[in-house]
Amino acid sequence: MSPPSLPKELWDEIATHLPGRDVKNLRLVCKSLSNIPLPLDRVFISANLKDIEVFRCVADHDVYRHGVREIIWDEARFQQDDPMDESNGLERTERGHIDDNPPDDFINECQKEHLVTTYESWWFYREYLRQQREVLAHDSDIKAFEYGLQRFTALQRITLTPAAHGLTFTPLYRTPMIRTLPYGLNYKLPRGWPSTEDCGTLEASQWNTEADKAPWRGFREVIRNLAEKKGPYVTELVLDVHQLLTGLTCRFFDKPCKEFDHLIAVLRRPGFRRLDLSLMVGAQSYYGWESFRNGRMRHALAEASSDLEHIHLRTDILKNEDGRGQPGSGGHAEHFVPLRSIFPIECWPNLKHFGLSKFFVQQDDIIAFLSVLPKTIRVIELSFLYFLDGGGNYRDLLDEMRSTLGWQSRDIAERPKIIIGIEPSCSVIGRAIWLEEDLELFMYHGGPNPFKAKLSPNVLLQGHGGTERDEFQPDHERPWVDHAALVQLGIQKESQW
Amino acid sequence: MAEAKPASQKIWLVSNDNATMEVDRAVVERSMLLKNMLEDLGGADVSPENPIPIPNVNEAVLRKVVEWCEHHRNDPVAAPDDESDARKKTTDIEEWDQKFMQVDQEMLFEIILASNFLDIKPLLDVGCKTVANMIKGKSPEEIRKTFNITNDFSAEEEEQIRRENEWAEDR
Repeated sequence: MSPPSLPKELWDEIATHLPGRDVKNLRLVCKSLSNIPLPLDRVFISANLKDIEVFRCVADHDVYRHGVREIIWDEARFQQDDPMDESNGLERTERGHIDDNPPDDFINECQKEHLVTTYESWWFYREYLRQQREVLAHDSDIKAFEYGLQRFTALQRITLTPAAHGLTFTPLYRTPMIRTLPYGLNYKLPRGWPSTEDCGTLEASQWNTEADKAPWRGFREVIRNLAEKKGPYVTELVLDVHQLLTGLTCRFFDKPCKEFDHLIAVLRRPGFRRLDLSLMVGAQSYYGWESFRNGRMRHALAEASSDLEHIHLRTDILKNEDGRGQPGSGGHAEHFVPLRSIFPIECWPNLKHFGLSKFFVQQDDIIAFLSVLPKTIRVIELSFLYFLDGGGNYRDLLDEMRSTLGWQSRDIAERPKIIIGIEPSCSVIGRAIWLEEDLELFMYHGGPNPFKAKLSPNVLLQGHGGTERDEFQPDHERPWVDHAALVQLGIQKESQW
Repeated sequence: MAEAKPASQKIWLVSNDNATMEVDRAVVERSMLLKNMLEDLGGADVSPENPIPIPNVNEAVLRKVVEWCEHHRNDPVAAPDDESDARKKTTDIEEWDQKFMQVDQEMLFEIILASNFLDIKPLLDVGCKTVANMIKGKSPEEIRKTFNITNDFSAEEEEQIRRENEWAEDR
């Protein structure tokens, strides 16, 4: 029997409602369904032969190459030290509470029970390391990328990430290479960009020598190629760390260098519309925030096309312990860097999305900044901010936003949506509490301020709004409520004690 | 200026097996094809004696399609660009539509064909999502069983598809 008599375009339409794994199975049913197109709007590149092989196959395909909108450059690097040492990642399997029973935790648990033996793990690890050396020695990743820029005619975005491998048994992206990892392989997660394995940060390294710059190989190649006007349709550049404490070293902005010029050339591209900048800033507090205060970051951003619609700056700042113990203080006031000394907001008349995550701020400065955003602004994200001594807090910030900015009088469609992410008191990499609907209610419909705690005005008490999400487990989403409420909702099992 | 037509104005449709049915204009206009046709032609000439022919759609299927349009006559019209990928990949179907789609496979595919021909995008979506739900989570062999399809691949052809499948993510 042949498949039910629908024309091909309707089978294609049915497939658009399916995830990739089901589309693949449908294509394996019979010849006439094997032509259903694969969902291929993004491709991956890394220092791995499998990723490069697939990347080139898609680039050579006369249909799929026209549908690719994004290249994700996985900057992860396997390290040459012994992956079987104590820090081989096993401890991280415990991050998800198994009693929560979301599907991903179940899969994690299954993989833990089918761990690949140490000998096999070491064999696989060495093989990936060998492939990595081969790719880097021949610049195969760079050559493939340059080829892709010519071939992907719909390419809009380039994303660079050190987070592709996610957390143990929970990859962020299931790249062709990551899909080849054997089930139950517990390996030392490669990152590429400098980072620690715990919740600490490293000093942001200098940007002088080739050795300094080496971890950001993909980033350098991307901005060089785009500066040379290759990949003419690319209008979005995203440095995506997914809440890992890393990024591009902020010292990139310390001195003149060719990469700085390349970045400016990228930002100047007509139609350039999105920049997500993730910076590592460790030890800047000792250097007086030179990389932010020297004006070079502002200068670079001021060169961006007036078409810019989306800007998001994230850093890996940790709470500064020099704070004077004022309620909610995130650090000593000397660390203050005015937002307008970084963001040339007057140069972006079409801005729709402004995001700032993990940064030292003062309430007055944020209010002054928000008040000059263009009327085109639709989304404002202010997440994981540390309010410096005497510099306000989230609760007062929201009150002041509502009482002074006058956004309530705008047409509904023109009111900015506010998003705030808060770190839970028990910090787990990738997990955070997100406020959106509650802020909509507060800002525009007279709802209560979700920050209620008098003595901790940056703390979101359970049961007062917010949704807990996990950057690495999309299924992990639940209201920010206490254990009893989660039990009542059927999300958690009743505690044994 | 064209005269405004009341929503309760009657329109007559005739299926390909010669069954004529009377339908409110507002219900008929869930079909973009018929809406445009009525706007172009005015619709005044449509009568029980001169119904609009709906070729390729038989009475049983046309009655089902009209039933769906009746139920959804007051739904807001979706914006044409309101279709992010994330939205498309959801196969959530509202309860009434789920019950409406509890029909045999032949009728299900006929409804999809008719909604495609009549350009009723929301009904086409519901039909496609229903089929997608029948496919979700199944192996190729299980899909074959569900739709009574014979595997006509040679080993080499199947291997070629498997290789190509590796290019795409599972998400």
